[in-house]
Amino acid sequence: MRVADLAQILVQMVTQGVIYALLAMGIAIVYRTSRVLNFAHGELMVVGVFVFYVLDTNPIRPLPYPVAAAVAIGVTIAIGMVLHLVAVESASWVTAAIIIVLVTAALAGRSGPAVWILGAPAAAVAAWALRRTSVRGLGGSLGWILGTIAFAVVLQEGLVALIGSSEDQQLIPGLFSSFGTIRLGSVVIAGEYVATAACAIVVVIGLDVIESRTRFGRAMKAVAANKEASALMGIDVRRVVYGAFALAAASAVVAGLLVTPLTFAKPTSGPTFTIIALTAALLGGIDSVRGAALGGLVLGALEIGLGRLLDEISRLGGEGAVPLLSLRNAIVMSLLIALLVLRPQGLFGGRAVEKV
Amino acid sequence: MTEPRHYFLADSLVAGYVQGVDILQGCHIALQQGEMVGIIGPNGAGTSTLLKAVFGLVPVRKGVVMFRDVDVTGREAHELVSMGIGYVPQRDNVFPSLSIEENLRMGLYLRPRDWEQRRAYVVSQFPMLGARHRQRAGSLSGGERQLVAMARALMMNPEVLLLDEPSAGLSPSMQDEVFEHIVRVNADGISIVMVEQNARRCLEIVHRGYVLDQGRNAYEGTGRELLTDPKVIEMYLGTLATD
Repeated sequence: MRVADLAQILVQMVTQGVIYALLAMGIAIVYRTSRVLNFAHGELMVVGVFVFYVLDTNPIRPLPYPVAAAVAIGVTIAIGMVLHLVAVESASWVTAAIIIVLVTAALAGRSGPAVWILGAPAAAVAAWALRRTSVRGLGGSLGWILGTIAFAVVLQEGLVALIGSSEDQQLIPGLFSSFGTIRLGSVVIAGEYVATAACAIVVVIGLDVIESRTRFGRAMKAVAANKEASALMGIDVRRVVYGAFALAAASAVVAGLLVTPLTFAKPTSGPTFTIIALTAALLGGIDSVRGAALGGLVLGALEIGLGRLLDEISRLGGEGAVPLLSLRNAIVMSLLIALLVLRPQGLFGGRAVEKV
Repeated sequence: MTEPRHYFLADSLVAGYVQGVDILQGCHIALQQGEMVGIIGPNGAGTSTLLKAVFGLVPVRKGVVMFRDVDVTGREAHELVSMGIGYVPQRDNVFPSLSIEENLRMGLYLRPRDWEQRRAYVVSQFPMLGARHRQRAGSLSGGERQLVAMARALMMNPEVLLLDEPSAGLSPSMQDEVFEHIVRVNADGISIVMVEQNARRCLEIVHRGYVLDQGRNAYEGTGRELLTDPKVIEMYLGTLATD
């Protein structure tokens, strides 16, 4: 490996690390305020990206980048709040309704657009009506697990139905796609990566400022510590939780808009990114937004670094050598499991303060 | 401004935590402006539930809660706080991971601009808080936490303060200190409704008291009347007299 390569690898490590940080922060922001692991986080990101893609590249009336991006963020925030309403607050019945629709779709043989376009609103209405009957149960306190997973499935299937085949890779236009390379002597790095990383760093810092310096951030901290006591401070706990879901959805779209121009995107990418976000958050410490961000940084950098290392090792073996790259995720996950045995609160998570 | 007909009133309250189980079966309490009222009763009488129902923390099934002639039945806690009603729960009443000062700031979440003025007032009432403002609330004793919780509720400059068993679990000397603070806060013009298990001490300092039994009003009167009422002594104070 040449030194010049090393510079580009380092830049890639940082870029992916910061984007993973952004995804992990979304998980932590939601978890802290609501104790919900959002299994639809990756889908929110992918839906946002495709809303942007359709608005920005459609041949009929393409919108300029900033407008399309803003609309995509707005739409995803709305979806994030609906996610909380149907998949968390009224999880049990919604889950039942969504499963009804899934079964209907399976019976119909295809998940064609009609089933989804008619089925999803019908399920929502059914769920709402069932909730009104005020019979609770089914999912119990863990209803959100099924709720967010079911919501993720609906988002993904809906997207597949609207966009097309699940294996269609789309090249998403990026803000920095036209950037050339940066030369420093013999070292050459891609300007697109540098700009993307810089942009992501700004957003990560912005989220951290919201979390640690603003009134809304203080409210989130209070709700995370004690919901009942927060209400006694005059904090509208429900509104704060909705705000957290909205903030997480917005940050997911931004992460998506930054990462997909570098990687391609398809409607079924959601689960991959959900796992990345959850892994990074657990690695760093899911109860701390900063911890989760650092976890994302470590995971992103580790993936790139380890990938290149395994590549180099396979290459030493010559033509017939076993490609070791496929071992990457297994190694990363083993490291995570080992870490969680030794430090259950994550790498950077603080010691949980127990109630006395 | 004319005097409200009902300053603070809970009437015919039926409430409970679980559907079908009514802890309160038609309680009523009334509070005049500037007054301090105590609610006592044996375990399970529903005293704490009454306070929570009034504050929107337990669903009210029947009855009405009025504040300054406005029906506030079923309003959520955060709305009542912004209307000038404060509530200090018995347990989990501070943010243990935050410092005393941060706890006080949280208390003023709705009106951050009043910080300097409210902080000065609260520290004048509770000098200990000013001196130790950096200390983590989780490291305080039970009595000190109670004072922090009361101070935090006072940050919003409430008209009415609801206190749920402020002396529970405290040493006798700390109980004295907490009661002294409560009397002083009331003397400052803040109306107080207090639920207490230490019935005798409570009746000694309140203007009027209510005795609950099994979710219903059993007796009411001035603190002195109840302290000397043979029926109340026999039922509730006799066993506590040896405290």
